[in-house]
Amino acid sequence: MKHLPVDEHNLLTVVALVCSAAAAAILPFYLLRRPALVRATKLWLLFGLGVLPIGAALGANVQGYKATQHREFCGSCHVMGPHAKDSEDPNSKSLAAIHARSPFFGKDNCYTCHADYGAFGTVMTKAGGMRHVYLYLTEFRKMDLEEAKHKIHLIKPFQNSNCMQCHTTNAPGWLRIPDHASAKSAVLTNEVGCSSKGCHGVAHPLTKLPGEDRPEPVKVKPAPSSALSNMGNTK
Amino acid sequence: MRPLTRAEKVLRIACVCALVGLALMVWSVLDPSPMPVILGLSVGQGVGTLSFLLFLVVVAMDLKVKQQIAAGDSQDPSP
Repeated sequence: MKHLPVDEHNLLTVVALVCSAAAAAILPFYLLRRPALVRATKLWLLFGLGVLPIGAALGANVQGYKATQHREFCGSCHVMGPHAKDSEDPNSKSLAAIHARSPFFGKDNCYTCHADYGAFGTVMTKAGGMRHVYLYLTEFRKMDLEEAKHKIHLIKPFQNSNCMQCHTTNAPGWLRIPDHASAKSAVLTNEVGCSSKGCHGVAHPLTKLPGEDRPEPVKVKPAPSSALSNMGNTK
Repeated sequence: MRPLTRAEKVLRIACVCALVGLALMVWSVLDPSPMPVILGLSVGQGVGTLSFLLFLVVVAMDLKVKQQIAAGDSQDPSP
């Protein structure tokens, strides 16, 4: 795991560091000088053990939470390195890299695509992240990169609902494409993956062996006339 | 060096716990990679919370002693 740059422009980082430094000045003083436990000492300890550490924890929590969303964080385990490198490649035509070039995704592109957007999405995403750490420490830490690239896979198929956080299936522009209109119900039920071969292609082609991919999309019926009649002139 | 009271011993443990928790939290801020962040947000927070709880225990002990003294004073028949 490589070391990552600190987000220097984050006010909460400064708050965390200042609170920690202030508490770290009070606590050793009490430990070494052993002043009598009078009212003033108790007040100092309220700051050293309560107010300042709570401030430090607040800053560190938010900073830590933000750090876990960055691509550098995901790519700091060697097995995710090629994914991160591909996302940073301005010439890459993979789905992941194309999305990473969008300002909305930017350096948080791993998280934006792989986050759980359900009711307890943030908690579920973080719990999933802990599983990744556990698997990395127990299985993949010493694994050869070439082997890991093909062995690591998602625990369940990528959900189209994640794509739909940005790409609505109701826009006339989306429905204007015959394959979209005819496959809409299959897309909504995840029967067809947006990122499958024959559609938009896999997001991380470097992990696939030649000929390896998700199953071919199901044969779709011709676009219903009702869908086509709903199309407007918007793009 | 005078002997430590029970409250002072608890407070010293609280101070050490707080310093360990703060060190882990600062590490996670300065090096936001997986291990420091996980340790800072779990062990760091846990140890820090424990230290504050120990402080509150001492406060509660202190209040109890003061109540006992006050009760003793009110029952004292001497002028």
